[in-house]
Amino acid sequence: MRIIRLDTGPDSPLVIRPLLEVDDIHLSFGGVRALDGPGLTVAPGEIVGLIGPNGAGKTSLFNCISGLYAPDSGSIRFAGAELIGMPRHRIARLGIGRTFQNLGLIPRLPVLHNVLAGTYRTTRGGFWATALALPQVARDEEQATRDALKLLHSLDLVDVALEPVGTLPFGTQKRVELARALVGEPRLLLVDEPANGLVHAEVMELADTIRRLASERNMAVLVVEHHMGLVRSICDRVVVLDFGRLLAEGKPREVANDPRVVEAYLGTAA
Amino acid sequence: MTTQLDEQTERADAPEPAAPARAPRITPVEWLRTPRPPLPLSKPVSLTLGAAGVVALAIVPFVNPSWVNLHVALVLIFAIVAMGLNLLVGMGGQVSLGHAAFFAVGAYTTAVVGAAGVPAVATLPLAGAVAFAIGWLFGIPALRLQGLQLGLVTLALALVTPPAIRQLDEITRGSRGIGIDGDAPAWIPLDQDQWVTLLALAAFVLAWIATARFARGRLGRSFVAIRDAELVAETLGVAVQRTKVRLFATSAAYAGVGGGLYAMLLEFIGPENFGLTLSISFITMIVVGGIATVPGAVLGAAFVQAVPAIAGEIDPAAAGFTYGVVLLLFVFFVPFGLIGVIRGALRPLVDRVPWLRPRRLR
Repeated sequence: MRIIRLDTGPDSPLVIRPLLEVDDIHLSFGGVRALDGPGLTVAPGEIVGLIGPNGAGKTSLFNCISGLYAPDSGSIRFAGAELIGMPRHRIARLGIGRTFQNLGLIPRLPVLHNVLAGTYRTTRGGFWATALALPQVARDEEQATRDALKLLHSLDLVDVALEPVGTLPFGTQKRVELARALVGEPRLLLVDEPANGLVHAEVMELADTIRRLASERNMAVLVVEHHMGLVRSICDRVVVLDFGRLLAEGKPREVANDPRVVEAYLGTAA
Repeated sequence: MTTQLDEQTERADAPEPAAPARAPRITPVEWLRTPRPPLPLSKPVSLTLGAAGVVALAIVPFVNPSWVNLHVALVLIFAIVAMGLNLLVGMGGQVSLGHAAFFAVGAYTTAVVGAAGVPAVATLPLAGAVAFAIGWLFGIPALRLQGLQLGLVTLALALVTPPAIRQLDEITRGSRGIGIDGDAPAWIPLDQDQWVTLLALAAFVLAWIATARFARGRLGRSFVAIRDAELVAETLGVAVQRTKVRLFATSAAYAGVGGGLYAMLLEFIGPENFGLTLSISFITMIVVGGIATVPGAVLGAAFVQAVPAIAGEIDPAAAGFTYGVVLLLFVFFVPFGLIGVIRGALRPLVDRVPWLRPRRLR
């Protein structure tokens, strides 16, 4: 078991077992190595940024965690359970919510219903309970609707709540997707480029929302993001990938000045 | 070269064009092809409409000759099957061209168990349960297939149904057919056609309520998620394969109950009652009525029952022809079915009369 020490003060080193431990993941498509042994950890309440040039393997790593890709080797442990080989819906039910780089919404459904779809994990109501309209089903649905509306409110989506989500601008759809991931009260949130399609003011609002929810709920967050402003303002730690390998890890400011990281992004000086 | 490490990467959304104040004039074809959300009726209004419909249908068997009752009962029975099929195909996106098989399973359950001395009405839940079980067993392998392949497998199911009935001669009496006693119990003073029509109405109302509950809320959203974005559904925690199989079995149960009522109504069934045409007509009902809507199933069932009959009065040969042509026209010009037309036509009225709408939308 690996233990990480969070630097919470000089006198009381708080020892927390990481919620997510990714270790030595290998994944290839045909002959192309998408992931070549990176590892990382995320503790409850911690926000970790995952950055790197395009094609570095960030989204591939996300897809391994949520079970969309099956890695060739390595281990991904969440709250002690091995995720590799676990069916995707079981992974989700452990409390891992995610958003997709290019959206995974249901375009024809209104915003509110898309967000409500995120409560599937936390509500009850199978075929019998639904057909018989057991009181529990109605109670859960009411609670889910309240939670969804609250999130729509805090993400400034109330005005479009009844619009089909497919008709909205990309940046708005990104926020809807984030609301859907959050409404299921995940213990670990995987966010793929949340700032994509947002203007500067919106990015800072989004940063506040993610920060606040992470600390309120003690939620672990792993975020892929190119927008360094967002990364710097919310991430406790940053992990840099390049060519599927771990390139650097540390506080956002340190990492941004790391010569290896600068080189990976800019290439060597001519 | 710009770097992605700086803060210059923010992108503004493309500005949305302002919605025109008044909808531009559209052609009738465009009007027919416009998707229509459900009418925003308030709960008391829709409950009143529903109750009025049920009362009207309950009066039908007492004031009409039995051949009218036969038609009404058939529409109700087909509507039950179509509601279940619409959940599966319309909401869940899983095609079944083989629901006549489950209809047959229900009909023969009622016939065989009824022949053993059980009152026919008591066999109806069993008809649903047996169809559910067979749907489940068939669904476990079949629903690993997608789209066209699933269509073909269920088509094969429809094709083997009549020969299978003939083969199981010991149970089904094969080509000779089997008789059912559809009469009301002695203490109920109703003729057979009145009795079965009222039974079908009761089953229809229950099916409607259950379907409406399935369609909205948690389960309905999971069906639509499976239809439109299966991987996303999984990442939301939906056990996709299991939900598909349950949905298929549930849909088969609707067909089973419908089949049991059908056997009681006709009082004599044989393999030729359950051919491929029946499966296709079930699909036609949900297309004509309006895919993925609850009331659409009823309109579709009424349509499929009425059109060949009306056309047949003009010329017997016209029935099949009209049927085919109308189906083609619907697919091309009325993709949202009769329910879409009704919603489109009534929407201006609902918009103009505030008390029809729920309070929050006034």
